[in-house]
Amino acid sequence: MKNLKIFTPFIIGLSIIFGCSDLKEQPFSFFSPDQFYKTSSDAEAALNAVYGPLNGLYGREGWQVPDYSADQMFPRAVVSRDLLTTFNYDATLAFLGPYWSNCYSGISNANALLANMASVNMDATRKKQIEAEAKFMRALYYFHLAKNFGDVPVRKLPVLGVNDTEIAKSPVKDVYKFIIEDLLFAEANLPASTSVKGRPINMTATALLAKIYLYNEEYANASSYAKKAIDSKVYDLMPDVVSLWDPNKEDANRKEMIFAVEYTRVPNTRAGMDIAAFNAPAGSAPKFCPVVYGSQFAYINFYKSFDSNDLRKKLMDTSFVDPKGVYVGQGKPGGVIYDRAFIRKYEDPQGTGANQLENNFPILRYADVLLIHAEAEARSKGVTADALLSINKVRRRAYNTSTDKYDIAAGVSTNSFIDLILEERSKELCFEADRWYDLTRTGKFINVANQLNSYYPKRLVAQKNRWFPIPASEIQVNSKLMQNTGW
Amino acid sequence: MNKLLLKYSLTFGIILFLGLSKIFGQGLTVSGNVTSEDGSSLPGVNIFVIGSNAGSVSDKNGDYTLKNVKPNSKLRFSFVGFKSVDISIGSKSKVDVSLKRDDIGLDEVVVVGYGSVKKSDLTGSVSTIKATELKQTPIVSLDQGLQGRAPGVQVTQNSGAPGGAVSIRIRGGNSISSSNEPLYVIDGFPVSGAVVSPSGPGFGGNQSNGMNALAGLNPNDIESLEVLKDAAATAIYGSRGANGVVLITTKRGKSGKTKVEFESYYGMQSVNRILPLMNGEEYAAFENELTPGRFPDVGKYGEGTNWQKELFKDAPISSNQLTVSGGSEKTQFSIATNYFTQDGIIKGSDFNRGSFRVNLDHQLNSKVKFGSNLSLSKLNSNVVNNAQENGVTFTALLMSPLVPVYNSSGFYTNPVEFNSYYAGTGSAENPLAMAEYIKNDYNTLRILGNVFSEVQILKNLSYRFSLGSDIYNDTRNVFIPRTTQAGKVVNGSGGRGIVDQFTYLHESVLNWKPNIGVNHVLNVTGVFSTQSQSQDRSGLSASNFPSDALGENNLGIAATQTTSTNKSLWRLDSYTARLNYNYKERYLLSLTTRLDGSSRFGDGNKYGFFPSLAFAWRIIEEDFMKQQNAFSDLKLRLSYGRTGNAEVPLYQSLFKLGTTGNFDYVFNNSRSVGIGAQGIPNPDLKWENTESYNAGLDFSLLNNRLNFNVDAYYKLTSDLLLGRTIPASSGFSSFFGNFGQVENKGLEFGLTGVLANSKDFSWNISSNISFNRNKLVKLDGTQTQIIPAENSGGNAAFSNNSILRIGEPVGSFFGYVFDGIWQKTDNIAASHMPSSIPGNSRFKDVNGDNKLTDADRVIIGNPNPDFIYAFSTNMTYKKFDLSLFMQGVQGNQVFNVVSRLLETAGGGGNQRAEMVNRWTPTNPSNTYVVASRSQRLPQSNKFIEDGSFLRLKNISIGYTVVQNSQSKIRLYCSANNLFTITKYWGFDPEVNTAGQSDVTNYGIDNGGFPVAKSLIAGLQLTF
Repeated sequence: MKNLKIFTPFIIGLSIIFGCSDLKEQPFSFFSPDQFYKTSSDAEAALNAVYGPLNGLYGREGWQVPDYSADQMFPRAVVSRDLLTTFNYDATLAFLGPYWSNCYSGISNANALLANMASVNMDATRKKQIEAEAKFMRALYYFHLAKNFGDVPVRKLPVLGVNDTEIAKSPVKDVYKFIIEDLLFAEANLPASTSVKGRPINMTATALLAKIYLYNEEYANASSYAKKAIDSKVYDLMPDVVSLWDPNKEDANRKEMIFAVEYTRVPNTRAGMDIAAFNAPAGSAPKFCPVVYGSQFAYINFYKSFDSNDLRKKLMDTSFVDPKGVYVGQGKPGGVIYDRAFIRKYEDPQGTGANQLENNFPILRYADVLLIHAEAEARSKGVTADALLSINKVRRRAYNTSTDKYDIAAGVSTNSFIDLILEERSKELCFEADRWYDLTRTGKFINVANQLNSYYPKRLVAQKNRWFPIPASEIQVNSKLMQNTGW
Repeated sequence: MNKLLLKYSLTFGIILFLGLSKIFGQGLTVSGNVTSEDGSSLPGVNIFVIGSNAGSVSDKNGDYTLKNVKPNSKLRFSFVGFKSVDISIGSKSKVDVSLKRDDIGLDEVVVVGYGSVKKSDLTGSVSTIKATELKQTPIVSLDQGLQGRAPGVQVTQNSGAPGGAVSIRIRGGNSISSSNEPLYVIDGFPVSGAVVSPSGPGFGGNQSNGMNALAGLNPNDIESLEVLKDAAATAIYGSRGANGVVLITTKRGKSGKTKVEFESYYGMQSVNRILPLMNGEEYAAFENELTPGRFPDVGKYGEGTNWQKELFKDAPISSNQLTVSGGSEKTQFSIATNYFTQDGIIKGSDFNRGSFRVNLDHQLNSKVKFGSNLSLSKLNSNVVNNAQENGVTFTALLMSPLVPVYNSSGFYTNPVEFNSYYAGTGSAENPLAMAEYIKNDYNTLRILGNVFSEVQILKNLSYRFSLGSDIYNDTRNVFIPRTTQAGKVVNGSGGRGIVDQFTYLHESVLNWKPNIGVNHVLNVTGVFSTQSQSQDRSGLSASNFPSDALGENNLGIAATQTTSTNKSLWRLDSYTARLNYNYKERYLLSLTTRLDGSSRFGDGNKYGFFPSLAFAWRIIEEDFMKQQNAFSDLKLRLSYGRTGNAEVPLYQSLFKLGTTGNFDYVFNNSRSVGIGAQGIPNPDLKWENTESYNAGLDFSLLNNRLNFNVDAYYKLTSDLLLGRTIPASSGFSSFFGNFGQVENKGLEFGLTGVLANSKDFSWNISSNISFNRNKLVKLDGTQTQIIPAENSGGNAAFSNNSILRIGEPVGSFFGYVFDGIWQKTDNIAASHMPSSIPGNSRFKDVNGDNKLTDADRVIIGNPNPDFIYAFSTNMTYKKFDLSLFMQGVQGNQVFNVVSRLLETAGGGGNQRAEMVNRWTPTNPSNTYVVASRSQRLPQSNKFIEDGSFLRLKNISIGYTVVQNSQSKIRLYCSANNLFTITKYWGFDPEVNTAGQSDVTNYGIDNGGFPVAKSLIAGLQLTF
């Protein structure tokens, strides 16, 4: 009995020592909501997260999906990349899921930021700019969704909970309406200039609006917004179309690069895109890129379609001398660049790794705005002098001439002029994830069936390829979401 | 008032009892001494007079005295671990007794949660595995030794790498996304069997590379191992009991002469099978079909390089163990030290472990005992990367046979530099350079120990207090030098990953065994325990080194550096009570309840309640059984209970804001950290709940020479933790919650037999067979199936393997139905696959819409076996002994991703030898596709193979040179995995390369580290 008395308080004591925790889970390595959205640096970090998925998107899928489908470049037939080129894919195609989810991840972060800005205590001007940047980016993500998938779900607010995740598609016209709404806000509230490399300014939104209006077939608006951007003189063409792609001149080239996905070779930053490794032919390292995959090439017919005086042809090549001094030409079947040209846009011999390359990926550049202007002008008013001026600026830069030798002369019909613009766009903006959307918005995409070679003797493009199928996994879990027609 | 009444009643009762004893208790005084067969005295033996209430217990010298015993009474001497003996005293006043140890009998003691019981008193389904069985095969960790030893336990080696992890399913898998591994309890200390893998550059966190979490425990230290299977046995572990519990008891010292044991073995391992692939000449001819004229003179390439033969080697394995044990009556000790070393059969892989254990017991006085368990182990293991298509094994299979092993400088050839052949190879890396040049070693220090004290508070009330800690430190060092392609492109990369984990456990156990009469035995156990674990992870990685010379030992000189740290903490508070009641050894009742509170659970569900009820009827004790001779034991067991799986990933119920790899951006060419929501929180998150029913029958024939166990069970697991895929348009891909329901039901049969047991010849057999049927009952309530998400960018062959569909077994394989090859005579253009060319594979248009779409995919296989079985036998004849152990799995299917990649014929790697017979216009094969760069070979039943096998796990022959009471010397040799009867094409049908964490992708062969066969010679010395 005595012993029991001794141990009873002992047991009780232990229970107190070891048992009196409320089992509340204490976080150490992430923030709780009550620790965030308070200060300006919280808001900036939340804003960075709006941009982040754009880096992910253009890591690969951002250019692979449209460019392998179009008529300028093709992939080596590995890991299902060829399915895009042969149009042999269905809704389970592995490239579509990441494309879709990166866009919506950015949108979700933008929605969360916009919903929480009220609780942030900071300078009112920058606060407005942050909101404008978030809306600019949200519009950009929706543009990516709209041009690939057409009708898509539109989320304007953060998800409330798990029961709020299934929503239906909005018609593509409504998607564009929301994009325009966001961009108008951005245009009104973004600063006129920025010291931060990579951020949009008000004229960035103006220029993007021109492209949006073009895609939404509001040609008068497209023309006037393009004109507004041109007249602002904030942007200009760089004199040399080849050094425009020199990674060491990236900052100077920002004059033309209106908005681009930012990548860098600087160590300890986010490693992102490996397009230069895709482009560099086997055995060439480190001439074009320190890492070489030799995984995508230009169609030889596309290469040949360039005039020999067109400097843009230099952004491709059909031979090289490897680091051992061996000449590698077109060769025989099985050769490294047999029946294909390799692409030199984005090359960075000084890159520090496969994913650490300096070249940014252009989303919108001044040459594009000029061509948008020419096209929108022609479509709304006909082949005006202004329209001719815009396209010829691009052509003169390409041929490095100040004369009218290579100009499109007045007197062409509107339809031929638009065809010439599309061809010019193809040459100017090749490998920039743009061509496929020109083809789809103009209904000319069926023509890619004619761009063939010994690697791709048959391409089964069909009317349903106007839009990509919504990823099968997305359809499966969203009962309100209907698949696109034909898929 | 009531208290007073109770007091009076008790006093009255005691007086009455004492009085009655006086009245009836007149007779002899009997005394004597109880010893064990080796002559040492046995304290604590229960002695009672059959048919009366009188009884006594032997003292510390084994002496006892019983007063007032009627002449001609019978005394029963019983003691756990020994055979009970009944003796008629006649008119003797001195009765000395020697008790025999009982190793297999029904009085055997079985360890159960927070205590032990006689085997005959068990109400639950518990299998015991003895040290001798466990150690029969050369195992690194104890979980490997469970294979084939207990009914209902399926063990699959995930990787043949030394120290590689295994997957264990006790009575089928309950869980979809949480762990299916059992809880391991080492001398009372619960530890997780989950792989802990420190981060590092290069290989990600792939589980197939992870080290076995139990590799730190030396299997030679184990005395016995109990597998708790039904809820009657596991409910006492509450929220952690649902996957079964493995109780591990390590060796303790016994009083008496100091015993020194030395055990040593050495052996060689080798690969079981080399996969037949195309040789150099055949490969060149194949490449020529893809790219005409590429290799003009194919004949000159001959055999080419056989990468498998280059990669695999004969690898030694050895173990040396020294154990010293003994002690006085008051203090006992056991000290053991072991050094184990094993090379892997893939070059560049090995595993080394030094371990040390001290177990101490001390009897302070008749009331207080205390002791400790302490084990310390240090591991070092070089692990080769076997993460799927980038793994060493796969690289060796796909590498072109035209690439030479060495370059002109004597280094392993870099296939990328070896330009002209490279374009056709799948991987950019020489498999040997991967295996030998890349450093990836794990260094683990683990100190697991506890101190305990047992106090006999009252004659029938004891208290046990224990405090334990598990200190676990795992450091992983990685360096990828420039001599590999991966290292070359980044100027070397390296890193260090550290996991620092500290777990503490407090347990207070009260045990009350009131004397409520001879026919009634009541045993009440109450437990309060707290366990908490903190884990600190650090990851340092770097690339762009000026030189390879310093390796990962000076990461600071590298131009690119990244760091990460993470801390987490969980805690589990448990309140447990168990009541065992036994009436006349005939009717046994167990009632268990446990209340578990876990920090992992959401705010709405902090505490879970887990009860169980079990009943056993020892029919053999009934009077009507006395007349028969057929059965020597017959027992029926019934149980019901609820258990949980609390392996909820940490912090899943909270709203988390943080970084993900995809939130960062680059402004001004520098890192701009993005912070955002990491998911949709779930405040209702809780454990998985398993309700289980068990009915068992134990019976023995021929005077206990043949013992049978039959168990039937049904388990329904609800509230399955599931990362439900949600529309990505929400910004998130999945939502973690309690959704699904899985059912397992099965039958188990176990048999042990002593066929002969004479002085010169003994022969034992043991066998078991288990059937389990698994079925997914419910997903999240809205969906009928989940097809795992597509794998971005990577090789599609390595994802999308399994489907979760209601009504089907978890992990069913999913894909198209192979329908031969398109021939020239087929009207392809009008078919459902119009873009095909002759020679492409044809798949069935299952839904008949004349299109080949997703909708044509069906369930094409089941990774779960129809049954698993094992047979073992031991024979001794004079000084020779022979044992044999066979183990098999029947009726499961394996998804052979290896052969899928070796049949694509699209370029990108070597192909299996049969691809020589690929389709050509002149060889219209209906099995193997044409060589063509742009063809699709999706997941189909073509690559589903029968995974049934029967394996001779072990055969060993021993010779005992000397055996007497003082010493024993035994020599033996054994062969392991000597042959496997199977139709499977790959390295080995026992394969699960997805590892423990990916429980739905079970039974998939992604070309991991193959299992080896081995030949061992050993020596056992005792003196």
